[in-house]
Amino acid sequence: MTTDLSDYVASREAILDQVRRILRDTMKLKIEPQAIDPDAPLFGTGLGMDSVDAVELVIQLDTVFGLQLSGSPEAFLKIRSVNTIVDAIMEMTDES
Amino acid sequence: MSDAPRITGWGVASALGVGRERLRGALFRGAIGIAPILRFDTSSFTAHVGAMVTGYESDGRDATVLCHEFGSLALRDALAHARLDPESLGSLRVALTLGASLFGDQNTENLARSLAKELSIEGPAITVSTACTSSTQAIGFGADLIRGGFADLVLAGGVDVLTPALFAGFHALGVLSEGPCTPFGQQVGTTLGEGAGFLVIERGGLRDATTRALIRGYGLSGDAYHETSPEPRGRGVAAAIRSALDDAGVSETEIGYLNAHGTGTIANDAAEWCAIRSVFGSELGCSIPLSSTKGHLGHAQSAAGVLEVISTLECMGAGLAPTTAGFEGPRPGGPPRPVSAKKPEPLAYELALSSNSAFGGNNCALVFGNAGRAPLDVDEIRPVFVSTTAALCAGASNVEELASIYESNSPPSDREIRIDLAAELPRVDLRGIDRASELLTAVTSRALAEAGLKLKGEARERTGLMVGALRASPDSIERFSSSIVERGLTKPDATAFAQLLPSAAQSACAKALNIRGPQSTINIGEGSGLLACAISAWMLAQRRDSDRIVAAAVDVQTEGVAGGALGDAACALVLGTAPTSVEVVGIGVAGPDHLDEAIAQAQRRWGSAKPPELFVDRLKPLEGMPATSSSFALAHAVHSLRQGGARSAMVASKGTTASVAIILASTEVIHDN
Repeated sequence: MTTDLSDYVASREAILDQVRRILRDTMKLKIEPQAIDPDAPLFGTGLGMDSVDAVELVIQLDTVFGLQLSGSPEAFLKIRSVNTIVDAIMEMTDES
Repeated sequence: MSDAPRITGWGVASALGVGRERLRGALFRGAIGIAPILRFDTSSFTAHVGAMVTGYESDGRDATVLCHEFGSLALRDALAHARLDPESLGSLRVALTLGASLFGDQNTENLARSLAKELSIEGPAITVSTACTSSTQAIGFGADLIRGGFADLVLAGGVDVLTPALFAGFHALGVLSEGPCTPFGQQVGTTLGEGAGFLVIERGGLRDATTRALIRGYGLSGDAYHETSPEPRGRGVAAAIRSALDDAGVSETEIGYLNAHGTGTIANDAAEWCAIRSVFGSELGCSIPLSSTKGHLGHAQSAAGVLEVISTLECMGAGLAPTTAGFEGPRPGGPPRPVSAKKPEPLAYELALSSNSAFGGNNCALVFGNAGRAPLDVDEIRPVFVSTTAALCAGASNVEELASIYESNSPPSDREIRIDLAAELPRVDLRGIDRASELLTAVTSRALAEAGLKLKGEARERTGLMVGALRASPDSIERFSSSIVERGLTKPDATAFAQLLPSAAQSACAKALNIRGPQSTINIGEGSGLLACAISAWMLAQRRDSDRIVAAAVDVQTEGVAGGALGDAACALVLGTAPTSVEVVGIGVAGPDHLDEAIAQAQRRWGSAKPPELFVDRLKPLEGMPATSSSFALAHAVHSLRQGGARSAMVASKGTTASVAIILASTEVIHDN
């Protein structure tokens, strides 16, 4: 594995960990962080989060990562699952 | 036979003027009371408009001060309309039913107490705290006080004030429209408002007064669905409307005009439209004249229902249909043709229906009008029984342990309350549940389980929940306040915001246990739980929309109460029409300084010449649980009757804003030999 790739994997893992912990602590999901499937839908039938949880999640992502999500439907697509959130955070970090 | 309660006057403090004459003039002109907010800075929000009370647009005084002032103005306006001298109220049997929620760190009974004191109202002052349905329910309960002979005249309505915190909470939930809201129209979202409105409701023959309309019936229901969103098919709204029609003894085809909740949000308007079509059918649903007054007055929260009833009464009396201000074209999933002329247009109707829905899925509908038919028949009164009880406080996890606290008459040494709700209700999503919700859900679940009730199918709709609670759970209040301090007004904790209501525990419990029947959260300070039992018993006796109601109470203390958990408590009694060994034979409700009258009423209803054998008082050793202590006394009385200690028992409580007395009797045949 090249250094670049292993750095990428390490930072992705770190962000993934943090996002999972936000979900457990703030959303009070009764599930260990490691057990949260990164591809499971957060809302509806997946992890069962709802619109009120979404409000808090958006605030947490802004506070912890500085990820600013507007109220547009595209923004909502970015918080469909843990992985889409991690993607958005990494994309933002790359741009800056 | 009983006479339908009469509406003889009303008064307002609203965004279309203070005083009913001003509101009437503005409504008839098609005026809109929504304007840029001046009272606080909205520059960090995406919405900037509100519907503030005329003349108070820049008034930055404390919300409780404004609430009292709006309430006082509207009450005096209503008394003038009903040609009642405020000085004369002391000599009549007058009650106050007040819809007020005061999001946040306030006990709601204080407002009722101060308004009652100002107007020398000697009778019961009952606060109903179910957010946006508060004043609608207050009118329904007010009508019941007349129907039940608990008062001769009731001032029923509600008050609310638009505060920065309230605005911030709704803003965070993303439900505020940028411009003035247009219910059912293309602008999505609601506009918050404020104000106060009161009806004067009285029994026929009380005095020489003009009857302006009759209250024909009301209906309550719960969605048991979500803390802020309505159930999308409008199931709960439809149930409340059907129950109101049933109570009024009329069919949907007799309703000439429908005043919808119509907040303007996507979720509310769509769910409500589903409900209307489900009750009225697709054809009548599309043709019945319906509108939402929120385009004029914004969403006045706890005062919304009464302001909408008053707007309807003004228009009805003039032969006009209220219009939906601002509506310029329908949105998908809404009524295609709400009444939306620039000004109210002529419409002749004798019966109107007004519907409101609230956070947590509380729904309430009212049927009222001028219909010149014979007075409403009150059906035969049904006997009401207590089936099971559950109690929870420091040192007592059931009524047997409660009984030993009674016997020892000393505080328990063990001050911890042990609940593992997740273990008791493994299939229920309890994420984010606050302390009051946890305690209430635990006792309600245990009482229903002991009664062998599984809430499935129709049993869900036939089971109600009446809760006595003084305020929102302190942990939610704390979470909301600290989120604002730490993150600013634009980023409040939305979950905590949704739980800032006294009714949050009732809604969470109803959702966890699937209770969809009539439900509410009421408050008279001390003794609130006993009033919840009295209202439940009365509703079961004279209504047909439920088979059982869980009458409950919950208290959660803030930190600083000596001994930690002492003061956290909850109690539930399952009241029903199915016979058990303990019957509720008498209830009485009177003013806070008239406990003797409450007791006399209960004794009279019981019809026995002798007093009850046993008097059970509140638990002396456990202090600081105002809502629950009287429920504990009633649960203990039930326990004592079952143990054969007596054949009849009374619990009487001099509450903060009302006195309540309940007499229970054993139905077991006792052989003296």
